[in-house]
Amino acid sequence: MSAPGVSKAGPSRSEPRGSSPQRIVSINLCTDELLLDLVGPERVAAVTKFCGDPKVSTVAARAGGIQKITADIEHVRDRDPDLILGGRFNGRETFRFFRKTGVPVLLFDVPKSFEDIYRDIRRLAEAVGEPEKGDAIIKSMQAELAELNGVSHRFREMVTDPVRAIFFQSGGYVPGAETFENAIMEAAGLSNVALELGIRGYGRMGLEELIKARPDVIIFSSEQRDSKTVRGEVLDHPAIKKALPRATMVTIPTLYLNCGSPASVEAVRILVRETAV
Amino acid sequence: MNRSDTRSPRPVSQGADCHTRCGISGDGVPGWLLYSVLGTLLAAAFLGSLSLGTLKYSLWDAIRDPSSDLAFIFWDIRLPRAVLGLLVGATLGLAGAAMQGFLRNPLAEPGILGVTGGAALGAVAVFYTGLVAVFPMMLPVGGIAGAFVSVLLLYLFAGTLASVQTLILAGVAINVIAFAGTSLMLNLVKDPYAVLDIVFWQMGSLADRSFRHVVLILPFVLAGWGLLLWDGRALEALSLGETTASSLGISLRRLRARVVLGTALAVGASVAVCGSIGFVGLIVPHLMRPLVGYRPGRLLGASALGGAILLLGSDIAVRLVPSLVELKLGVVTSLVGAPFFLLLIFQMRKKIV
Repeated sequence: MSAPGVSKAGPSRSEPRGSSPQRIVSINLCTDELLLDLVGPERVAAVTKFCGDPKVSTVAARAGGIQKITADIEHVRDRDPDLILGGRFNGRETFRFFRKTGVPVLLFDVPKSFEDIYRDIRRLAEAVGEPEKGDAIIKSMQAELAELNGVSHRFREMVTDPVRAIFFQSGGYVPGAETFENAIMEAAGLSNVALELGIRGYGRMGLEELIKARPDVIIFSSEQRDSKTVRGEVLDHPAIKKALPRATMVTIPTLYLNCGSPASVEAVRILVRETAV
Repeated sequence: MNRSDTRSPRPVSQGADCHTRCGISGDGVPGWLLYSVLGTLLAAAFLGSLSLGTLKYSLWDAIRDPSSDLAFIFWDIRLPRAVLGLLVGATLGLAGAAMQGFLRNPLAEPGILGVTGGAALGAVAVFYTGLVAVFPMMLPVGGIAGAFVSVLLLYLFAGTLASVQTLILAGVAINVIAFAGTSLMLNLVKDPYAVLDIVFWQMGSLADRSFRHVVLILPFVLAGWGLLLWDGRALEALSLGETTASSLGISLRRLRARVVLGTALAVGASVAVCGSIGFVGLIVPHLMRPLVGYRPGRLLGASALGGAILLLGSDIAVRLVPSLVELKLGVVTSLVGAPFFLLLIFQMRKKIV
């Protein structure tokens, strides 16, 4: 066994293991991120084509020499994988095919909490034979979150009322209880307005309801806010600024929101920095 | 040459029915009565659109407490929405009436004939090149250019006296081309989520628009209305046939130029900010026709008012229907309009065969 993760990025200088997979193929942006945190690029046969885009993936810098493929059967087969990683929502046909041919397939659900992320990291770390490295990553995430929690907690003690925030997404969707966005907001010491409205999962909130709710903080995802889309325009509606002039607007780069991964701590860090100063 | 609608048996019998039943003369309802009823309905629809939304907050609340934060809901969310509903609805009704009059074809309508589709393509092309960020005015200009090309293609292919089949097929072709172009453009945009925007352009909606959009399209829409409303007398003359119209001093070429330009300006600008909203231009002129004594000239103003009433009413409906996701306005007008379209085709079947 190699020395447990000294650094997240460091390639694992390990002797070849008989059982652990050496030609891992990931066909989901989120498993790309988890995987490249756990193993060196020499053990990765392919990642998704999005993985090389620094605007979308947090591990783009580490994916430089790795082949990028689309999730179809032919491309995956071509990489001759000994372990396939994917999400619950794409590449169904691919998974079915490779299960039949006996290649192990590991599927991950969308995390709803940091506990879910830790569970996913542990599961993947076991599968690739790097359990100590997985534990180290989890420990470092927990330490960072505890520190951020301390910062926000000290600040919140100065104000008596909870800081009420809403994650306003295009089309008027807001994440409520049991969503990953809610976990990030809670980790940053914010109180999610959607919970006051009894929203579980993703619920709808129009502009009128947003104004009525009078949140202290409005959170946007950068992809939706900045992109030249009709949906982005809605987030920039003049009524928001006029009716809620004192609300703090925070835009989180979308790459920290796409996946539950060690980089998710970064989303919490941005929220704490923007709301607890 | 007869008016196309008098050739179809149903509208005539409707007119005759009404003639005996409700004492309306062959000239339809007297002008003052028609316009005061339509005006009242329009005022009611406009006030209704202002007073109904996701929150219980009425015009009265906004007047009573103008300093409230919630007043912004009224002035910055609902007022632009109602004004856009009025502008776009009137545009679609007016353009439908003008196209039906000019083509002397009761199935003519901006949506069915691909004009809105072309406008959507133009708007999408401008939106995603980033030009809009620099010159906001480019958005309606793109929509107008797209609509202009579509109307032009339509008249080139189908001419002014094409059979119903030729006209509809030309419309189908233009619609397909426009939709393919729009999809391709959204497909090629680097932003992976842009494809979702196709929903907006295809379904159309007045939700969450602001006064920016009203200001953006107002000059174009008014210019388009002017060009179309001007054509009342010419369209009446044209209903007697091209030769008669020419002998009455109507220049067909100028009339065509005004109809093409007016439709492109008003419909193009509307679609650019509200997406495609179909069938209003089909339904409204048909409902109004008996009321104006089947006169294509009088039909223009009445259809503009009727279009605004129908669109504002539909927009109230989408907000009142309880659903997790707000229904798109264009979906509702299509749900109502498509069966109406089928019914019209059904009625015309004998004539076509």
